[in-house]
Amino acid sequence: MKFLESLEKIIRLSLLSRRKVLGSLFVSFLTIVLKPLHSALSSSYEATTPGVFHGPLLKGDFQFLSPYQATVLDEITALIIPSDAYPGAREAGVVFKLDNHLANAKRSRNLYRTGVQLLDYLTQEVYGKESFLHLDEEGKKALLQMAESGKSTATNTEQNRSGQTAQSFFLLVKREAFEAFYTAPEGWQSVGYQGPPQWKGNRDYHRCAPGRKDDA
Amino acid sequence: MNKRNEYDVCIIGSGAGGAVMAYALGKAGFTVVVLEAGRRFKPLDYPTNKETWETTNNPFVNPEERAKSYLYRYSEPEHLDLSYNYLRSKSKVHGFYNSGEKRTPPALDRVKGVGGTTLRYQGEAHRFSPTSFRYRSLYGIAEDWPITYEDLEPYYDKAENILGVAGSNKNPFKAPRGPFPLPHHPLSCASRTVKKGFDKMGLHLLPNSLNILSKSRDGRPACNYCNGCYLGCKMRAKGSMDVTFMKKAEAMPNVEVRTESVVSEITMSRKGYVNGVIYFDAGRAENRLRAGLVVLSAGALESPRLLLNSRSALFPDGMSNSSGMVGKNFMETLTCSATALFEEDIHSYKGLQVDSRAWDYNAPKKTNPFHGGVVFGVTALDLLGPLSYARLLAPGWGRQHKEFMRKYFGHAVNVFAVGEHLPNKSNMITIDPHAVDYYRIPVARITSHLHDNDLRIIDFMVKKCRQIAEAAGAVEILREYSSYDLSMISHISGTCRMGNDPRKSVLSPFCQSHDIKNLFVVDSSCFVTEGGGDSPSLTIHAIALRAADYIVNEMKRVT
Repeated sequence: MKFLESLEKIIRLSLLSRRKVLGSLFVSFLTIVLKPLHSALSSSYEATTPGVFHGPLLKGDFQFLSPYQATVLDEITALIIPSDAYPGAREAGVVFKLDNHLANAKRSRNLYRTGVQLLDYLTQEVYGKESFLHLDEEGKKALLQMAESGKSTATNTEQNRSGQTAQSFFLLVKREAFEAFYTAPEGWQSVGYQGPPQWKGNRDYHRCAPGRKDDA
Repeated sequence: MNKRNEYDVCIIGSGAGGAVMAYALGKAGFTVVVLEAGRRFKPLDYPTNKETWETTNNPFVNPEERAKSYLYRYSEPEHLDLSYNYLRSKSKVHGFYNSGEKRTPPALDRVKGVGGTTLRYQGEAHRFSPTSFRYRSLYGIAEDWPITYEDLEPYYDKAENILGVAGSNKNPFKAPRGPFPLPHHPLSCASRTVKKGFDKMGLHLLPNSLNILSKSRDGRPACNYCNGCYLGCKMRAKGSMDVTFMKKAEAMPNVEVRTESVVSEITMSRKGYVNGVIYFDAGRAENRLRAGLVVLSAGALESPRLLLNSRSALFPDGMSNSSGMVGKNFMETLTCSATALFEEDIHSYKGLQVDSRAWDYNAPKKTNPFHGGVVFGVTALDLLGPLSYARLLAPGWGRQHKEFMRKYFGHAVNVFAVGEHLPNKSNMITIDPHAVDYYRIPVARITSHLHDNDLRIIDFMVKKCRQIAEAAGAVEILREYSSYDLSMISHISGTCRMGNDPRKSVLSPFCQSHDIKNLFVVDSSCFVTEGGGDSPSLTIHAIALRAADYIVNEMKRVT
């Protein structure tokens, strides 16, 4: 009954085409939106460069991300998969995995780069602060929710498009953070999973949780 | 390199049909060459022991060689019948999978490689029910097969014994039979949980019969229940053709396999016999090969494609197509699934893909609101690890996400059904007038629509799956999807049907072409109907063993 698997294929195809759509959206975004936006708002973009944030930056040997970008992404992924009694994105080193991934995935690079800039831009718009990193946890969450919804505070078209880009950025980071986290032992530990199917297998597969009377 | 280029038999394809033919004809002493379009896969390379295993959805497709993988076109997808709009596929988290007005284009899950699609299948080894062969005379629908269950029974026995099929003969919905070669696998915790729902509905959830070893046999170990069957079985416990029939065939000195060999045409002599094939090798160089007998086992999509592409003065409409039936009666797969979430931990990611089935509706009944058969079952399917839960089931992000994952990982399982797609002349494989593949061979075009009976089957399956899930105590149904709006196809058949009347069928009851006596088509193309929701591979094996017996006896008679 392999047929059900083709569902996943379909979903994947649609994701793929969505990615393509996002890609082309992004290109048009770069050419029509970002350039004029950049010149019009160059001061606020200047403000988002690492020089303005004086707090501590994430240290590490990054291949693609700048220390500032890495610090922002570390914050975002830690909010997507928070640490509690069980490991979260930080313990699994998700931001390092994303960097590693970006070193090979050229297609996603631009979206990461502009995404971080856009978050700072939105921070400026909404809170009047210069960096996403200046927000407290609630502020960061609210901003990410805004990015996720694809809406923006602005009414003009150019800035609405920036809302779409912020959304694609957030969804991409979320997807890749899940992928990095749940393919790592910390991710498995957080859900109580023992690790890849082989070579251990599951010879206890027919037993239910302790206490079930019909256990074989 | 000087390769031999004359053989007694040339077999095209090494899947469920071709592998068995290679084994049986090789054993009879013929010189056999198997041309396989794909490459050879090594079980040790399958991803299921790697940390990143969940990011590999299909190890049998190389992204860099996508151009060489399965390629087909389709005619315009049909408009959905909106009176069944409530059947739309949906998920709690992602909403509608298809919110458009048309059905999605057909998505086929087929594998090119030594072993064919058995590399990816879930190992179901079903005998069709005796009633499956006689729909016209018993129920006045579709057509009868020219063979009966009794004709195939000894070959079912033989195939099961060679493979080491595990199953239980205490199945009142199947023909009486002796014990299986191996005992059935115990039901998983997930299946036993969902069984409560089946029980309440008066349905009988029984152990599935599987081509997956329950005890070590023939140098292969028993299954260790990793559930990753469709990612390739590292253990070799699943008896895909590469580790069973092909392995035995290749051990014979008179059997040779050429991988990455794509046949573009079957050639003919002036006397009206086939005499060989033209194929492309891995370097895309054209080769010719001569053979006394050609066995076409490329599957119900590629077999008719090759016949329709092999035109000649004698067969202007495609080889062996004097009946006009090559490519007609394409049958896809009707399927549905409901993802049920349970409060208790049923660690549904452990086990076998489909360890249990309910055959209550396998045989048609006058009282059913549809014609044909339906089989229900329980499967983890794609819910095999944490990443799939995060991607497919868990809502949101942050604490909400993490709590769902922590609480419900391993608690979800799919109640699913497979229904019969009855043959219909308007569903067919033709040659696409424009598209060609990597080798410049015109590709197949699929035309497959749902008819009234198909919609009634899907409606019945979807409602039943939901009822079973609810009766089993599911707290929520997280996803529901079906063939109504998503055209997910894996079992395909019917495109070179067998029959007694050469005007209405392509093949004889022994899979021999009515038109060309030394051409055989041995795969699910020959099926007349689909077996009421059962899986096709074991029936393909049995038909192949029977066809090989016929060939061997005929050769003895002639010489």
